[in-house]
Amino acid sequence: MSMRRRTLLKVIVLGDSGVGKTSLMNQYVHKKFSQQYKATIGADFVTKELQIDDKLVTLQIWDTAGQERFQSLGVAFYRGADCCVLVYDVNVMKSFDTLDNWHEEFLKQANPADPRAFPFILLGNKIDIDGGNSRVVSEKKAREWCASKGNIPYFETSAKEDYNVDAAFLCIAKAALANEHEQDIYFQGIPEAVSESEQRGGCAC
Amino acid sequence: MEIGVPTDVRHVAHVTFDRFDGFLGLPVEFEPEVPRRAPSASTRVFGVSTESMQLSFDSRGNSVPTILLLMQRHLYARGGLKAEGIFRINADNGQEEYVRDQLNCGIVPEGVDVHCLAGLIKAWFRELPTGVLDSLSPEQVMQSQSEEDCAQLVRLIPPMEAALLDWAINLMADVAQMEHLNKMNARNVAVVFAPNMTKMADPLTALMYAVQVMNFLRTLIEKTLREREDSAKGLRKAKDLQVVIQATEKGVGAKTNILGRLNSRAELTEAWR
Repeated sequence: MSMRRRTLLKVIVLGDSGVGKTSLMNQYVHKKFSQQYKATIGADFVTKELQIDDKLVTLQIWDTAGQERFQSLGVAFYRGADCCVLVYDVNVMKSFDTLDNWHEEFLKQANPADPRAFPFILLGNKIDIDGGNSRVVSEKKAREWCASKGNIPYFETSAKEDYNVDAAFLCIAKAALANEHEQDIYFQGIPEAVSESEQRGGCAC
Repeated sequence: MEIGVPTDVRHVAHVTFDRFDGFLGLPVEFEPEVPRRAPSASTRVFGVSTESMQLSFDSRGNSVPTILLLMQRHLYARGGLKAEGIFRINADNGQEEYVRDQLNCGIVPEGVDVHCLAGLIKAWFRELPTGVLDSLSPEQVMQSQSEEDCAQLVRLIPPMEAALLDWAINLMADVAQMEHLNKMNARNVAVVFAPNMTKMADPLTALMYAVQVMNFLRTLIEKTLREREDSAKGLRKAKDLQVVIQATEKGVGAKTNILGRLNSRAELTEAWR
């Protein structure tokens, strides 16, 4: 009874460069949005604790670089993931078109036991831009894509305006929990230098 | 079947590939199919050693593969330096294969997207048989913190790789100079170039090393930007100085020959300080 086990959930965030992966994560974890334009080097991961029903859950969110060179790192990154968050920019058609690649590549490299049951979530980000006038991917189109991949939950978000970010991540946590892996809280085998060491202390915001 | 001994042997042609002049001694009848100045002695311009690439001089006197200069020229002419996230934004995969094929023949197709061109410049570095910075050990790069350390390290790089690095750093500095339009400062452009400059088998080591390489590139880009600014200031001051001298000559009739005695912009900058 006194054994305190926490649930660790590993969440991978994927998508093209510049769609707002880091910004979504920072908004969710730190409640901050930076106007600064900043490319991610390799990957950063952050953790956040939350309570779901009576369970204390630690979300470990892996923010990956959209850079081509690091796509070969998938195997190392995706191993043991409980949920995969795909992000695209509703104002950039190409970022939507490449979702198929990200989806396929994740399944290939993470190699989950039951690929069809593995939880994915799709986020259409940057809906705030130009009051929605510059969007090129309709919600309908995105939902159709989700339906074709086995009814993936879909959220329209704005990391900048903090719109729907909490709701999306709560859904992510629940999906991951359903696919949970009970693990030790300590992150084995994750080298510290993976997060950007150019910043002395502090987070990647 | 009996095969006889060869008779009447003739040496018809001797073809060599010169890195500046292309194929030499190529029989005339081959010319329609093989351009004499092919971009590469191989059928491809990607993933082959610079040894077999056609070279040209860039504006700074580096001899670098002609194909890189071609891609750079088109990137700049098509407003690539002004495009937000240039070198960061993923290119449209659909176009890439076609553009690669054309580049292998030394052609940049019309209407190619700037992000595709930028992506292919990175790919060119990534696919080299050996990375531009592979002659340096990770320890050397890691220990080079100051600008002087980094400049010292550059001097250890073999000539071909040094020319490629110098070209790339100046390209990155061109990008960073337009940060107000493209949002890519020295750090950002260094982040997206770093993973393409070394070849490492183990991906996690590569990832950790990329941070060190990024800092190294960033230092070199910032150094270049500062030197450009200094030399621009030097030029401006030289103009001011000239005006002052002319005014002085008119005013007191003094024959000043300061400009004539200074040999370089750097000296002039020094003198003006």
